[in-house]
Amino acid sequence: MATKATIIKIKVNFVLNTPNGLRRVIFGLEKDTQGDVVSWAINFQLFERAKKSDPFGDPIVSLDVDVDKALNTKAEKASKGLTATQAAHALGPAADDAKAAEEGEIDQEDAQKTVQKTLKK
Amino acid sequence: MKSKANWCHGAFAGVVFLLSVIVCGAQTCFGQAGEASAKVVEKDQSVGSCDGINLETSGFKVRSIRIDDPFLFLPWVKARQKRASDQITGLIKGKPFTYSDVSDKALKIIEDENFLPETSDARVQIRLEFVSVENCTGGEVDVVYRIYSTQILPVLSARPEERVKERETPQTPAGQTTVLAKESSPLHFTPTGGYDSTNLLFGGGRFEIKPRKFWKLPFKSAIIKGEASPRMHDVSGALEGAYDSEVTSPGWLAHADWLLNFSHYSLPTGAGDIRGGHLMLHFAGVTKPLAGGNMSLRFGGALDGGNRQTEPGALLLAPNTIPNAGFGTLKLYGGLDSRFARNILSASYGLELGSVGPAARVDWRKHILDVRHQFWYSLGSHHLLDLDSRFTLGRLQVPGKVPLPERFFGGTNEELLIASDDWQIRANPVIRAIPASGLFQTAEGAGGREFFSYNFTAAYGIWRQTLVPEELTSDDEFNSQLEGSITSVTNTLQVFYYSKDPHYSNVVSQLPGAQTALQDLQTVVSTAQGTHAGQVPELFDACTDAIKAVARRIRNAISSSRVPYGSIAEVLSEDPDDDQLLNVKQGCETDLNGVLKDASLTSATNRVETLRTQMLAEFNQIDKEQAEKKAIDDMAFTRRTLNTLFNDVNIYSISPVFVFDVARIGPRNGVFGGTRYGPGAGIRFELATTAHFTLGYAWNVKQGPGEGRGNIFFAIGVRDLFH
Repeated sequence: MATKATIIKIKVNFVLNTPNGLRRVIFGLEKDTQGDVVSWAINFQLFERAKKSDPFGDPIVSLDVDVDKALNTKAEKASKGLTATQAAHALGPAADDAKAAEEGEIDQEDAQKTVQKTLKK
Repeated sequence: MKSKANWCHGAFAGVVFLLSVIVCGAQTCFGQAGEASAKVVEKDQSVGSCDGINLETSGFKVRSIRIDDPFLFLPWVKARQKRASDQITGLIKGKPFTYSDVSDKALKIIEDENFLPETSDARVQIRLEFVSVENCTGGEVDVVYRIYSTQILPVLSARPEERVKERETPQTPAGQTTVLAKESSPLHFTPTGGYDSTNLLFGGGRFEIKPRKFWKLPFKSAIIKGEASPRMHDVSGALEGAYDSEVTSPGWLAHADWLLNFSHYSLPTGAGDIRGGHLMLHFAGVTKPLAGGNMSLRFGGALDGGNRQTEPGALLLAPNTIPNAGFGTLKLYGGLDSRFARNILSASYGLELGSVGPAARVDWRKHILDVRHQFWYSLGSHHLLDLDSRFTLGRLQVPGKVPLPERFFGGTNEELLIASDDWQIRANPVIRAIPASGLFQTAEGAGGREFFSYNFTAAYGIWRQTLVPEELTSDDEFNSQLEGSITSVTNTLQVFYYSKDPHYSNVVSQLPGAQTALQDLQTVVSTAQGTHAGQVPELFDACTDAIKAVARRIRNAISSSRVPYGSIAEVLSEDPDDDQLLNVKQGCETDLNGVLKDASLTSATNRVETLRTQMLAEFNQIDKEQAEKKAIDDMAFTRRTLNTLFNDVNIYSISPVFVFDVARIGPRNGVFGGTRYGPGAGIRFELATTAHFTLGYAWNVKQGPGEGRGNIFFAIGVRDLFH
């Protein structure tokens, strides 16, 4: 008998662009299943470009955040689509802090917290 | 312009060509089927479900790995898949299973290969990735990586021309072919061919160059296309340019394209040839969705000049008709497209004003109405019933003279009003039961002054292979995440519409004032800290931190050229975890000044609080419902297209086809002119990896003089050979 495949990881990437076309955030939500244990992570990538005619190229910031287990339900909900407030937060404060952390203006941990806060919005 | 339709007589040569294509396609298709069978056997020999097993702690090893992507038949996708597959094999195959390697590192390898490449136009992107395990037997497990990515042109997917592509070449509307990937060739060549008892054996194709940079010219591609035989030719060369606005861009224009085209043709009618050569400059635009996201408008115009010639043969000239002439025309056209869940309706109207020679007068006027309707419905999983209808109406008014080829000639040959591939306005009566341009005799002579035609095609996919595996399309989680992707894009757009609200502008205009108030507050706090040296340092720190945090958000919002809605929402939030102004009030006034009792501090915090209250009042008045509606309307076509691509499209399908055509040409007198009926049947084969064709026979129920009893119709298109 053929066996049914068991999914151990799902990753959904929300591609969010600012209206001026100069900033893009890929908000990747990953669900990992190890046996009966489920965990969530965020892969946050920020792209920027000077002109719309330029390609985005590689991300200027890439942050991996392990989601607090207390937020698992919110992560599950967010994987079905980010709300307007969540999208605005990802493109605004989360992206700003990710960039600020990359430039040493704030701690990496603070930026990760801001990114994770997208789920609570 | 005239273009040779795909409909033509079937013949031995065409069938031979067709068979070679099918064999070629079958090698890919059935090769995969054989591979699949082997896997089924392998599966059948195993019994282990992997559900609920921690494969790492249970000591499993990786037996095999596989990457699935619906578009693996595209060479650049295949090349990336192979590179990723080789790396992942080296990383995990035959080794102990670890979630870190199998899930995270391997998926990173796939992502680095970027299966969803950059495109040269503005598209909405969707990407889902799955890692699954199966056959947990003998301490080993098979790992499968599934990548489902697509990028859709938001408004253009409502065009009937695009729906045909979804069926025949789903990789094109899915944005997998318009790539800037280095593996993708800038050259594209799609051959065509066929046979017609009048045209004889003909062959040709469409050759396109899409350089990454077209010097500094406003074009994206150069195209040469045509077909030729010893008796006929129809060739054209064009430079094409296009503009697509981002879905989040302001303005009403979604897409514009322009074209500089030269065409030359010579088409036999069976009684004489009609010929012409002309240069055309064309421009067209498409609006963003209107009417609740259910409709978009198209508009355009063209200037055209050249010559029309006739090899009269047995053709009788109608009054005010000249066989040879130089000419110029101005064409204006407009239309609407509408895409629903399972329907596309499109209507176009074109007006042609022509003159013989380079004169500023109107020698003839041509009115064209072209209406198309497409309906598709899945009877059973992916067994699509496709119903296509097309109604075309034309009228020619001749206050002066008109070249003979400008009159209406009907049959399997299709003539288009404009040269654009993206907007096809049919300009003659098409009937598949009459070969070439054989419907032309009227009471006045050769070529009609008026016509209508109706063409109906019904097809039902009996055999098919789905683009996305059925196990996924029937999976609730997959569907909800697919839906979630498009919802996220819609909600991002909604934020853009928030920013169009005047109350939002009122908030933004107060940001500099808030920034100044915070700076002043910080000065007061610093002064107070000097006055109260050593007192409550933790409260001073908390106040200063709150000021800095919110000041940084406001600074980002002011300096940003983006829509800083998210930063403003944070600043005005009531969540104490946010960097918001209430924290300033709490930290500086309630907590710190609760101890200090400093009047200047109270004054400074009150100023900040007053501004916060004013901004919040404006912020809360933003019409979110209206913004949400606009965003949903804008994304309606995209959502419907996405559903079609994932839930209806097949990688191959074989369908019986029923056709019914009616065509009338006039003026009529006795047997000259009048109405013809053409019922028929055939078969349609579509293989996205290789080719598509339709073969069938239609009867000419009510024959006119010199017309046959019927016609074998045969259309073929081959996949881009340079891919």
